[in-house]
Amino acid sequence: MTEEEIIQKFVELAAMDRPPGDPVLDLIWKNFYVPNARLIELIDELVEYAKKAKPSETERRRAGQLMEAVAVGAFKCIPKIGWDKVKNYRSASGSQYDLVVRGERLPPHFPWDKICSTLGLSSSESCMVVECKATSDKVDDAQFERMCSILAHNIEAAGIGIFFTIRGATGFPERGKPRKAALSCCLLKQLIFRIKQQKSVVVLDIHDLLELKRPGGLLELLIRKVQEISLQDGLPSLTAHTLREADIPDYLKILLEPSMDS
Amino acid sequence: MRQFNCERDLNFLSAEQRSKLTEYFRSNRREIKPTILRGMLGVSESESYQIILILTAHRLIRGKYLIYHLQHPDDSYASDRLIEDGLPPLPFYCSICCKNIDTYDELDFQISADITERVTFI
Repeated sequence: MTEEEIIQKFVELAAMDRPPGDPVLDLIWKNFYVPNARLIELIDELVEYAKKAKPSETERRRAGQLMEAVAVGAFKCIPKIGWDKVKNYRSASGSQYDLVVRGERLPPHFPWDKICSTLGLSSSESCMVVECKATSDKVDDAQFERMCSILAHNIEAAGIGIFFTIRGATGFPERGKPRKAALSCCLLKQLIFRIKQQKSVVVLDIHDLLELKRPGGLLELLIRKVQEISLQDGLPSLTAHTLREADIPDYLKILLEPSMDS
Repeated sequence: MRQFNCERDLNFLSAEQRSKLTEYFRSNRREIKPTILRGMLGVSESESYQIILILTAHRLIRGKYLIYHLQHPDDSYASDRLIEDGLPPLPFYCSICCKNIDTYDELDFQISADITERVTFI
């Protein structure tokens, strides 16, 4: 069997609707995204950069290139997305965006359809816009707004915008911090944009980028980030293999203990 | 012994086919392949792969790719890899000719699985 025939077997398997977390769906994602050694090296280099307290100008420039390389390299690990499907843009209009990914939707060999439908993208909105920010600051309101504007006005065929960042975006819940009880800054914009345009803008930070080293990582991450927009539970993103403890007060949690079944 | 309910993912299997599959898993055989399933159950090629992939997903078997480098048609496979780890990323290192292969066009794959436990198919 060729690689294409194997992918076809998974496409057939993907035809059935399955709930998130279904083990068959997990296996499909693991075969639709397999990171290669080069991508893993790039991510490791970026993680090392992120640890630096005061990077030099040269290091900052290199980090920008690394982030773009990680973004391109990650999408390149989805089968049937060739270089011709990953375009690099520098818009003359001033609305700068780094990459536009267009997967091949032709049946029967291509997984892009399944990826898009799981992300809730219609067939006319199956492009993804990627912007890379390797800065020490979070993505701010203005940058987030610009991505929303690109999706709404510049590339109408795009259904999702993805920020590849080190620090994430303003307003989003942070790991190790108390639950956020309010929507503000980019997080608020994300929700309003989804309600108004039915399109998603998601933000990956350095912790999320580590997940790109695992088979299935990019796809599981995007699906989770899109789902989290409507969830808005005030908690930071989970890693794919962390089961969230029941999110209820302690006096109710005891009712879930096995000893309470009898 | 674990039970697997075929109604959701393998509902194309009849009661008789489920019973044959159970029997196979109860025997001492440790390997299962699409060709074996086709011969034993009379299922189609597509269905035989579905069975392997779905049982792999549910961790009832250890499905794996046997990876062949087409330059060595008479040799055994160059490497194997668990299906849950995905297709091998490129470049693929051929352990027979000790070369890195940069394209899937030079590779061929077979699917096989190790039976790790006894299962009753209902």
